Amino acid sequence: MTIVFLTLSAITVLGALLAVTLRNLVHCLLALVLFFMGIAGHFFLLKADFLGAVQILIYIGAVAVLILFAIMLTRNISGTEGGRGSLGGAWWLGVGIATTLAGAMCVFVRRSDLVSKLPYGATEEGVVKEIGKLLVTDWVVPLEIMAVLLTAALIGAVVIALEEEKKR
Amino acid sequence: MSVPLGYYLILGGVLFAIGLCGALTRKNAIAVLMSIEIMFNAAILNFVVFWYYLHNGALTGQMFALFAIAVAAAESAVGLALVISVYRHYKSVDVNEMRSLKG
Amino acid sequence: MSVAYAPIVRALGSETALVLVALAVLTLDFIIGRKREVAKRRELVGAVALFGLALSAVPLVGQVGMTNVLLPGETLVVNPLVIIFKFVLIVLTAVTVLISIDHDIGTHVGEYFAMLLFGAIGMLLLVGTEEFLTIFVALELTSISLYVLTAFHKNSLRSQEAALKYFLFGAIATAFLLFGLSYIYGLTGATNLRDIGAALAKKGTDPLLGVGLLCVLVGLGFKVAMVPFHLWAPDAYEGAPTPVTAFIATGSKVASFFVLVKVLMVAFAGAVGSAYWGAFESGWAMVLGLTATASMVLGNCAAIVQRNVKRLLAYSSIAHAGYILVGLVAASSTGATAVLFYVIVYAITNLGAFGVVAALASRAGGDDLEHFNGMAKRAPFLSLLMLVFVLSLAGIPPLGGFFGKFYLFAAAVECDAEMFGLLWLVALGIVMSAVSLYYYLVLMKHMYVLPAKDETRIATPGHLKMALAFCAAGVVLLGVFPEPILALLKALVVRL
Repeated sequence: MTIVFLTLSAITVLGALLAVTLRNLVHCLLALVLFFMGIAGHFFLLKADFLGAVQILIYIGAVAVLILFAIMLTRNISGTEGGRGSLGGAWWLGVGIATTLAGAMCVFVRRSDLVSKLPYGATEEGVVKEIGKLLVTDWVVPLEIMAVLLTAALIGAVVIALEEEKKR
Repeated sequence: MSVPLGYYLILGGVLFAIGLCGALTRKNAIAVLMSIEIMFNAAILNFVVFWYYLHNGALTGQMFALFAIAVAAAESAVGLALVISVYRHYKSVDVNEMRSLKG
Repeated sequence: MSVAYAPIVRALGSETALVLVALAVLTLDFIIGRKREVAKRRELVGAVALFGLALSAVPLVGQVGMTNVLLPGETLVVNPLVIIFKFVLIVLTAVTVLISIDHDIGTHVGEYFAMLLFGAIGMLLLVGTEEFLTIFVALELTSISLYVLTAFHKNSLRSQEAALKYFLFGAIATAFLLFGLSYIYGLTGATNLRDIGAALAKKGTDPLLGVGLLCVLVGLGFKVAMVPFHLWAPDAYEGAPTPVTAFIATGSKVASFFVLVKVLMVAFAGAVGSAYWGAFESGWAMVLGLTATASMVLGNCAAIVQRNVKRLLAYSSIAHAGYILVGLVAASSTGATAVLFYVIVYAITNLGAFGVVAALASRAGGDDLEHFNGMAKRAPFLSLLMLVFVLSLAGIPPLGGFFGKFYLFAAAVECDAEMFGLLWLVALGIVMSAVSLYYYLVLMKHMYVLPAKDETRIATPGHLKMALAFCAAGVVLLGVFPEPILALLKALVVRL
């Protein structure tokens, strides 16, 4: 089990690292897909099969393809246009912040008393059914908000991406 | 048999940091968006991990992860639309300038 | 495991009404829109949206009797405090709609008003919940609507760039929020605020709780634009269509501060820490004390050098986030009352100020300080209103801003009656208010003293004047008679 975990983690971290460092955007996207796969693998390992399937369907099936379309539609700008780095040219600052964060996380995790906790056996059976039930009972309010959110995002994305007619 | 919770927490933290690093340093907006997706996934992984290790009596963690995935997808759709719109503007601004120069 | 849906439907009355109105607005514009000119469409569709907003306030009246009806997992909460804030948000949205009718918002009129209403729905839901998953989803609904609204000036590169920047920063903040929430969930196993508070009170401090709390503060701090998470604000405020700027600066701030107060006072009551001078203890009060300092100093100092009125107001709103945080640092119910009172005053004032800017800038040719030269002669009434708003922002008595600030600082002083541990923060706040007076007066100088290039009168439609006069009246009233609403808020906050 440890071997499986380590292999999957290596794939995931590698995918993430490549996705944020490669120069060519399409290569980045491929690395990102690898990363999504790794996460989905972890979900299966954690007995969250339904989420693993959702992860593959939504992230690899929809988000990755969407990003691919965006890359193709804006192919010429892979350089500097379309938004500057949030910190301007200070890449070292970003790396510094992220390294500090990762280091601090490791220290905190080691100091936390949760670190050695082992799972006490999750059940896989009937999870999907249970999720379906919960969605219309306990979590019905977030579900409804989600519906409005998706409508808003749909309308918004269409309005933004729509080409403006010239001078009416 | 499973690995201790700490392994997973470190994995989540490292992935989040990698995503943050990319989000802060990349120049291309689409690349920033991809980095943000990595950050989202690290958080979602954390939810599932906590559910599996500590709170699997209820499905709250899975539910949170499910909603987060849906929200992230909607958000990336809006984000990519914005990227395309900005891109189109740059292009059309360029074209207009060229035309006005020609007189 | 069955749920009674009737109370849910009842508690969601306003939101349901607004969803229906948003869809109706879209359909209406689609059917009648294409052939008419844009200004006519704005009037027609805006009127329908206004009518819908008025309609959505009706269910609130029916809920007045309900106290703390907790629906499954506290995903939906109805109590008098929530009703008050929902009402405030509906009024703010209505004024924004009135400002928008008069403003060039491009050709997608129906979509504009629909997105505005979607954003308002998100804010209402944000106010009416005490559960993190619902907070998260509602916050995203608001944010996505605001990103889209920011990009509505489709022919202006500035607007598109501002929206992209707003979006990228916002998405990073959302990721932080989600990451922090995952730790909170992991440590407590709960997602609703009360259970989290109870679980944390039992547990000792875990280092991971610190990480979670900090990440949640980053996520929410972005929404209220506190330093150092303010970088998006000046650009988004400047680039967005001015009515949208007004909405971002007021509606979303009110909702976000309300959530921040609830999250900190209910869920993280056990991790307060201390920002008392010489007695710092790690906890959210200390973190907020530092960000409040940074926000007040940076916001006010950066505002001085601005030449663009919208940017100036953006930096001023960052400074105001700093003042509001001072009240939160006090971590007492008096502090929370002062915060909620000030947020209302601040929102009405800023909505009015941005409304005046929206009305005048489009007719004066731009929103730089120079364009406002001699406004007092060109548009005397609106200039007078602007004077009221600006003086209130600067904290001049007897306007609402003065009393709001007074209560904030008083709460910070009295929370430690022996040592006055927060006096340093209050002193800084007062000094910075004096600094802010400078740039507010520069704006007034441009409007009242400097001569205009072009002396023609600027005519503005009556409904706009009425809406802005309503805001000004609110500012004056809250300044002259703050007691009733303050007492009401105080009584309700204690039961939070």
